[in-house]
Amino acid sequence: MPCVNSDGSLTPVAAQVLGALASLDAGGTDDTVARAAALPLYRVRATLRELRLAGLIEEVDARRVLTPDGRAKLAAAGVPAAH
Amino acid sequence: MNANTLEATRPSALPRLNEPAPSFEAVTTHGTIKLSDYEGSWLILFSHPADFTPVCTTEFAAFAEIATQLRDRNVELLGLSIDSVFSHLAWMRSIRSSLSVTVPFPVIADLDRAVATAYGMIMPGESSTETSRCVFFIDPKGIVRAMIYYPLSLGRNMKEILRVVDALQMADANQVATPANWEPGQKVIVPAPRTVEDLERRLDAGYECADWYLCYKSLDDTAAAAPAKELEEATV
Repeated sequence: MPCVNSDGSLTPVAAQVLGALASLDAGGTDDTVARAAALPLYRVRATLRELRLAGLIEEVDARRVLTPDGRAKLAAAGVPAAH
Repeated sequence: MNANTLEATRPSALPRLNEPAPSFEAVTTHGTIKLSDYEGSWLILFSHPADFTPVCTTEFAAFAEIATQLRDRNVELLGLSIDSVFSHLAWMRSIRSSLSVTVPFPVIADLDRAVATAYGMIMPGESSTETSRCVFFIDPKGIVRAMIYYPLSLGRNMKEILRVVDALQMADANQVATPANWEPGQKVIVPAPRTVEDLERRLDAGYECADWYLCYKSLDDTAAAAPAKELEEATV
C-alpha cells in the first residue's frame, strides 16, 4: 500500500494528510484537508483514496474521518490524532 | 517504418478539443493518480520521449521552473513517458544532482501505454516506442481545451505554455478571444457578431474596430491576470 511503508509506518505524505484530517473537527472534505495539509488537491485526493483502501480512514456523512487503525498509525508516527 | 508497422501501431483515437479528456488511473512518481483527482484544477498533461535524454532533461528543468507560476494560476503539471517508475525516480534524482532542480510534479510510468494510446501520444511515423512531446491543457471540468504536439527533436517553449494558460483563462473569464501573438495585458478581440442586433450594439459600444467583424477592447490588468473561477462557454 503506497501510503504505508514496508515497515508498516506511514509515508510522509500519508502522515501529513492523516494529521491534517485529524486536526479537523467532525472530519473533512477533500478541500478542507488540502487546505489543512497545505498540499495540492490532487495529491490529497489520491492519498485519501489510498488511506481509505488501507482502512485508515472511512467516510461518514460525506466527510472523511479516521478509523481506530488510522488513529493508531498516526499516534505511532508521533502525530497527535486530535487537538 | 513500413506501412504495416505504421498501421499496427497507429493510435485508435485522438482527444478532441472541447470534449472530455480520456479518463485514466496511472502509476506515477507520486503514487496512483486518477484524472478525476484534478477536478477543480487545470491540468497540463505532457509526454516526453524517454528518461535520461538530453532534450527531455532540459524540458523537465524548464517545467519545474514554471511550476510555481502555474500553481498560482490553479494549474497542475503531470508528465508521462513509457518508462518505469524506477527509471523516473532515478532520472528525477539525476536532474536534482546535475542541475540542482527538484521536479515537484508527478510523472506517469506508462509502461503499458494505456494513457499514451488514449491521448494519441505515440506518433508511429516518428517513433513507435516513444511518446512525442505532447501537451494537453485540461480545464477544471476535465475538458480538453488545447493540444500541442511537438516532434522529438524540438524542445518546448515554456513561455508559450504559460501564454496558452493565460489566454484560455482570460477568455473564459471575459468571453473574448485573443489575436495572434497575444500576451497578457494586450487588447483582446470581441467575438464577432452573430445577429443584426449584436452588430448594431457593438457599433455603439466604443470598441476599437478595424472592421465590423474585427473589434478590440482592453481589459483591466487584474481581470486579465486572474485565474478563471468559473468556466463559461464563449462563442468566438
